[in-house]
This record gives sequence, C-alpha cells and structure tokens, in this order.
Amino acid sequence: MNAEHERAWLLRGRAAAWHKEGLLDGAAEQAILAAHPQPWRVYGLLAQLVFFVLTCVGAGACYFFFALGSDTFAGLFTGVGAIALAELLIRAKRWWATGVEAALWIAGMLSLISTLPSSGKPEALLVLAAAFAVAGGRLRQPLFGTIAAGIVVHYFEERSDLGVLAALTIAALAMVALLRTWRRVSTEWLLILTTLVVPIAGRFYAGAEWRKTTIALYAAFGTLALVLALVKRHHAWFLTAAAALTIAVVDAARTIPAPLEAKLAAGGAFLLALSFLVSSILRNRTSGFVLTPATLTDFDDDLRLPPPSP
Amino acid sequence: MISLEPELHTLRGTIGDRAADLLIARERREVFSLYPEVRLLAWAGAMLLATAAGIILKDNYERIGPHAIAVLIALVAAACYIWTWRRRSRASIADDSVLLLGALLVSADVAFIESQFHLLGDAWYRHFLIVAVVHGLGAYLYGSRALLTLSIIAGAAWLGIEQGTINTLDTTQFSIRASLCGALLLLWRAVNRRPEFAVTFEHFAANFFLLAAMARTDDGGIEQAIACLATIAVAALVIVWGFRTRREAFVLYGFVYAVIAADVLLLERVKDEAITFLIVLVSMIAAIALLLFIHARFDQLGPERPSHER
Repeated sequence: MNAEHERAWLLRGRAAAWHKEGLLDGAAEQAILAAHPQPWRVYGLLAQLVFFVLTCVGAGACYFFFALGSDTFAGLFTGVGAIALAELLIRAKRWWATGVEAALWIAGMLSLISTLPSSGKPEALLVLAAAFAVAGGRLRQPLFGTIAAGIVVHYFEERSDLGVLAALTIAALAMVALLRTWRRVSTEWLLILTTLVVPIAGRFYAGAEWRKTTIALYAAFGTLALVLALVKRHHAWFLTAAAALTIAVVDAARTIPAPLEAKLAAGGAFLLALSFLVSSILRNRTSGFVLTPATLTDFDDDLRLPPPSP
Repeated sequence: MISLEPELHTLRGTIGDRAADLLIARERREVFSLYPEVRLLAWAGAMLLATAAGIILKDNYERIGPHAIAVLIALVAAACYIWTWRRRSRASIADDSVLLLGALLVSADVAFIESQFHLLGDAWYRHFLIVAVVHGLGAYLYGSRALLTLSIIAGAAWLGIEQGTINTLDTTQFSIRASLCGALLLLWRAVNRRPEFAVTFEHFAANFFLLAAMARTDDGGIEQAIACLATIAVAALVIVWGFRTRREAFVLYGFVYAVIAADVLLLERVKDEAITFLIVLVSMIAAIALLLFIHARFDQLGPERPSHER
C-alpha cells in the first residue's frame, strides 16, 4: 500500500467521523469516499484482531502437525509457505490490513527462526527483533515495529544492564521524529506506539538500586514530552508525558514513609482537581486548546470510560 | 505528525468553505481538543480514590471503628452524588468521574456494612441486589451508562454469576443462572426508555447467553455435544442480531464463540495428536473463509441502526 492509499484510508475513516460529528452531511461524506477510493481490502481493528488470531492458530497447528515428523521441515515448510501465501494475498488479491497477511508473515518469520540452531546468547534476541522488523517493514505494521524496539531494549538489558536507558533513548528519538510531518499514516503510528509503549516496557528493567536515577530519567523524559505536547499539540505526547510522569511519581512515592491509602488518595484528589481545573479553564473556548468531544481511536465509544452526563 | 491539510484544500469545493476551514484548523492544531486527556485524568483520579477507600475499609476499620468508617464513606459517596446533581446543568467531563466514584463508594460501603454487621444474615448475597437497584436508579437519574454497567454486574453477582463462579459452581447451575441473567436483561431492555442504554443491555445479554451455553462444553459425553451445538445456535443468533443492528462487534464475537464450540465438539472425539493438529488447521482455514464471506455481506449493509428502529 503506497502513501497515497494510506492517506485515502485515513481520510475515508475521518470522513465518517466528521459526518457523525455533524461537520459534514451525507452527500459530502459520499463525495470524499468517491474522490478517494480504497483499492485494497482493509478491515477495522476488531476484525483484523479476529482474523489475526484465527490465522495464527492455523499457522501454529500447521507447524506442530509437521513438527511431529521433523522440526526443521516444519519450520521451513510453514515459514516459506506462510510468507508465500501472505505475498500472494497481498499482490494478487490486494489484501492489506485484514489481519491474515500480518499473521502469516509473522508466523512465517518465527517458523523460519525456529530452524536456526539455538546459541543461548543474548544476540539471538536481535534475530527475533529483526524478524518483527522485517515483517513490520514489509507490511508497514506499527505494532510489529514497536515489538522489535521492545526486543532490542530487552537485548540491551541482557547484554549490558542498560534496558531503561535504551528504552528512553529509542522513545526519545521516536518522540522527536514525530515532530516531522509524515506522509504515511503507518509511520506516524509506529512513532506514536514507540514513544508511548517502549518507555513503559523499559521501566520493568529498572533495578531498585537505580531508583533515584530512574525517577530523574522518567521525570525528565515526561517533562520533555509534556513541553512538546503543549507547544506542538499531539495526543501521543500528552499520553507519553502522563505515562512517564506517573512512573516517576509512583517510584518517588515509594520512598515516602506514608500509608499506601494516603498516597493513593492524595494522587487521586490531585488528578481529579487537575481535571476540574483544566475543564473550567477551557470551558467555552473555541480555539487553541478546547474541550469539544473527541476520540483518540475508533474504539473510544466501545471501550469508553464513564459517558457524559446529560 | 500527520496532516490531511493538502487533501482538505482539494476538497474545499466538495465540503464547503466553512467545514474546510474548521477541519484545516484542526489539522494545523489551531483547535486541539483535550477532551480525551481530561477524561482520562478524571477517571484515573476517581479510580485512585476508590482504591484508597477500599484499602481504608479493609485495613483500618478496627482502628477507626466500623460504624465511623461506614458513615464516613457513605457521606463521601452522598457528597459525590449531590455534587454531580447540582452541577448537572453545567456538567464537565470530570463530573462523570465524580459520579462513578460515588457509585463505587456505595458498592464498597454496602459490602463493608454487610460484612461487619450481617444485617441480611444468611441472605448476605442480597446486598448485591441492593447495590444493583441503587446503581440502576442512579443510571436513569443521571443518564449514566457507567452506572448501568455497575448495576448489571451487581445484578449478575446477585444471581451468582461473578468472577470465579464458573469454576466453583456446578456447570448446570452456572448455565441456568447466566441464561436467567440474559433473559432479565432482555426484559429490562424491552421496558427501557433510554435509547442510549439499549446497546449495553444487548452486549451483556449476548455474552450471558453465550457463556451459559459455553459453560457446559467442559462436560463429557452427549451433554457436551448438546452444549457445543447450543453455543453455535446462540452464536448464530448473536451474529444475526449484529447484522440487524449493523454492529460488527456482535458478529465478530458471536463468530469466535461458534468457532471455539465447533473445535471443542470435533477435538474431544479425537485422540491422535496429528489428527488434532490437522483438524485445527482445517477448521481455522474454514473459519477464515466463512468469516470473510460473512464480513463481505456485513460490509454491504448500511450504517448502524439507531436502537428505536430495531
């Protein structure tokens, strides 16, 4: 799928949302759909998830069926077969975001890796990361790219006990890269997921002896994200700031000798008060930062938090 | 960051100057909604406070005294309800979280009072019914789907369906209770006069009926075969409902339940490992093909139908 088709896909989704919001009438929405056709077979995230799981189970059954004879043959047959089938579906049938081709590609890569001799060295992790990176690059699948980044972080932790630093460095690079205007939606999503998820994964590698350093690093990273969010305005930076500052505050709170319930109550009261403060400041504003109903994903309505009162 | 500004400039003639200017302002982030962030902040604050209250109830009742603590939590809960009610004409996003906090405190307080004072004696489980009624009334009074969800969960707990009971209850008992719960929800949906609540009833009812059917697929022999076929039949009804209401989620999870039931039905009768893997492989290919067909039919339908037209 080229950049133009990715943008058409995004625009078609946005057109439906704008129609739902009342910004466009049905005719304008239809005109946008007609002006930006989507030649690929693409599905929504929920359907992709179901197809992905079904295909993974099928590919796993295929591997284990042949593994009853030979592991190497199972790995090669499933690996080559799955990737070939995925490419056939993409090139001949123009399947892109159905979940099937993504599952076939990653199952194929993992099957091929299973044929390699086990070394037990941390460098083996890089092979796994490369598998996700190759699949992610071919399919422009941001989740695979983020998983690859997460595995690289794990490698640095295993190799040099530098998991936290690696996570924050990768995330900072992704955060800064998000400043650029990208043509491809998939690149934007890769950077968003990497900025948001990798620092959270990195926290799991923070040792107790490095607590003060961890607090300082996450506080600095969160502050940078918050400044970028306020100046350049992107939801990803706001969420990243929230996640990083939460990690810093939770770790800092552990050093305070107060009952857990008191710390939770103080934190909860602060967040609630902050939300009221922001709500009252932004009330009735129509430009700059506003509070008009908006969603981060297509699923906010389905997975929604407490709904607005009448 | 991504921007659809170039596309919006070319669409100006189609969507009109007013809509184009508004949407371009959004793309340039001259208008940027903090709605998701503020909602998340308020929700996290309410959850932290509710957790703190839970810990206070659990760990401090001997020190503070059960009467004092029960009254204190009740007062805070009442304050939350009154606060939200008094601000209903100028409610912000954060007010919904205060209401949710009040409801969670009511749930915790009723459970605490029952555990301390045994007011209901052997019929202790009826406290779930009290909670369900209170939250149900609150849901209608405040028009809150979050409170409705709490009410349904408490009602299901009163009927004996809660986390863990699927493992402790006799499967027949669980199945009967889950079916009863689903039926009561359909009845409630029929007399419900708030259209925005309909989809919540439908999702819960569908899942209770599906769980009721699935519960007995662990039984052996003919009962298991009947349970699998019943699950497939209920799943088919849920899929039909998804088509009727144009809601993809019903179609997808109905389909997943049906695939699991069909595989259980087939695999329980096979002892050979190779045939097991082969059946899983073939069944997944068949499931993907069938879901592609169903999804293609679903895509041909129009947009989602409002609840009053169903």
